[in-house]
Amino acid sequence: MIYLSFIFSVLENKTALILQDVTSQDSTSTVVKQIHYISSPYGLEAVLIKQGQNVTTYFAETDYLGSIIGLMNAGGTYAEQFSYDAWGRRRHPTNWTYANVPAPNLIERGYTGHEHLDRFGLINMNGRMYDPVAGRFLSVDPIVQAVDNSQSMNGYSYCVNNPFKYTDASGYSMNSMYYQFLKDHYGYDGNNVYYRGQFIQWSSEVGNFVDPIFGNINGLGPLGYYDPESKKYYPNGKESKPSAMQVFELAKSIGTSLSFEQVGYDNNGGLAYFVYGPSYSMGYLAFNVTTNPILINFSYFIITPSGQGGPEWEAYVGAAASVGSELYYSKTYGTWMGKNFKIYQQTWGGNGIAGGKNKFGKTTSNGFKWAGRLVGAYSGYRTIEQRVNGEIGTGWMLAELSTTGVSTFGGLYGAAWGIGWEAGRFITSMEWYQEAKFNFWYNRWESQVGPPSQSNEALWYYFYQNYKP
Amino acid sequence: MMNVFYYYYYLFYTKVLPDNQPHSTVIFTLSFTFSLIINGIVNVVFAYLFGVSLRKWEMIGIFAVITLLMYLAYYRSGKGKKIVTEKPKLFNSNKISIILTALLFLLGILALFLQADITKSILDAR
Repeated sequence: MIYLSFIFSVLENKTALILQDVTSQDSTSTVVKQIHYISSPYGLEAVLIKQGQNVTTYFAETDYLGSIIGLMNAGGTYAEQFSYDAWGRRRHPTNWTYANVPAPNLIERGYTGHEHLDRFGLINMNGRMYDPVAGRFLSVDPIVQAVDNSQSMNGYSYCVNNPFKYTDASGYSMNSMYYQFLKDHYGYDGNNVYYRGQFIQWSSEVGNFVDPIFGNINGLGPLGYYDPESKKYYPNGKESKPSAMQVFELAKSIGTSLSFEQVGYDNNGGLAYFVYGPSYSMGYLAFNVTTNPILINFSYFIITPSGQGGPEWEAYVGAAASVGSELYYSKTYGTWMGKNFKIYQQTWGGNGIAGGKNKFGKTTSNGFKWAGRLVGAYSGYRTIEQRVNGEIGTGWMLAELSTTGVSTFGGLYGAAWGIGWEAGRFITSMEWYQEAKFNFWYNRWESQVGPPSQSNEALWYYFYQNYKP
Repeated sequence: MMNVFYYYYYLFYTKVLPDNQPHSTVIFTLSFTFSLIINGIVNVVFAYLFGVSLRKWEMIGIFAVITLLMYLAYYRSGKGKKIVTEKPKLFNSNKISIILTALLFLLGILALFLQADITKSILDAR
């Protein structure tokens, strides 16, 4: 008995699987043939065919659209070659004519990685059946992808009649930069979206992607339109209000290494996103993105500007060195400290300081001074390394380097500055300060998203998760 | 040129910001200035060509080597003290010498403040 491929697809729900270790099976009364499509993030890599006990590996050759154009055996010679015209119709692989096109022996997938139903001259695009001769789908597209594109108004057309540029993994909408975005940020694999490593399921009932936790994800589904020229995403056509995607694009133009994190729903049921900049001081919170978008600068709103932690060892050594150096021998005040820890006033004209009595103080002061300078040099290069590694932002680096320079070479005033700086760090790491800071940001957060409730639970969860004392 | 830098750094640490060990301080600060410039150049070039940057101990190592060379050349040999008596100038002009020394200092400060961001942006762009 032969299982027709399209029946098999329906029964096995193959719409959820496109070239991601896809297994298909064709059987006769005696031999079962299993075909495994092995893909990497770069596309299809190999095909494993198991017939009975025999397993053969073929290395796949694909074109830029992901169409399979050749299978090579282990020796590097072609086991089979395929060719398709612009619209996906099979043609002869050597002379590109439609005459005497060899029927495929090994696999049933081909054009843009989709399954050919050669008995019917159709291609199973998962969501809909496609006729490569007519260049049209057999059923109408439930989605109007781009309201301002007349090509998109034909619900039967394939990839807005631009098959060289786009592909249609789902059978519902062409892949575009918008999908590339999903791929980059949400692990979109052509059909499914993975958010934080969690599978977000496509729901044909609601025509959207559905997060198992958050439910229907507005703006993530193929509804709406991404305009590559203005680099904006319009969830309900071009006249709609700016979306999270637009916010993201805006933020992207400001920062360099942004990350984009959905944190749940806001009070109005819209999605809330955090768009992170390269440091805590650059970034935006975007919420009400599907209703009344609000973009808030992180610098004034983000809950956790917890600084860079308490002082580290070089801060204490540096401060001690500055103080020690001035204490043991101070030109500013004309004082020096003896072995008995008593401070003496220098009397240049008299006999108090003369005769090498301040030698100990001077030598010890020099020791402290050089220790401070070496720690300053170390601290400078450490700060540079931290910035290159992205551990601190530019502002913080400038503040650290300036403070290091001033406290290392600034004499008594530099020492005072350094001590003040480190004392500030010490104080901000104390519990009472953290509590006051928490209350401040809690009130700010509450004024923006409302008191904790079921509707904004995710936002408050985010608040507590990210409040770092 | 180096002698001129040495002399005007020395004047700075005796007249503007007096230090009780001016020679040692000059050697330290000159070495640090040069190490910042050299480390900055190495960081940018390495990031551009190989996609890597120097780690802190490698940068400190370069600083240490420069300091050692400066110590041997100017302190141990007694050349530093000789320079102070010779009072070298560039083009026999006090002004030009001061300007060039200030420019060297400025270059060092720029290297200190900018090299990390420049290196990072090159690495991020790769």
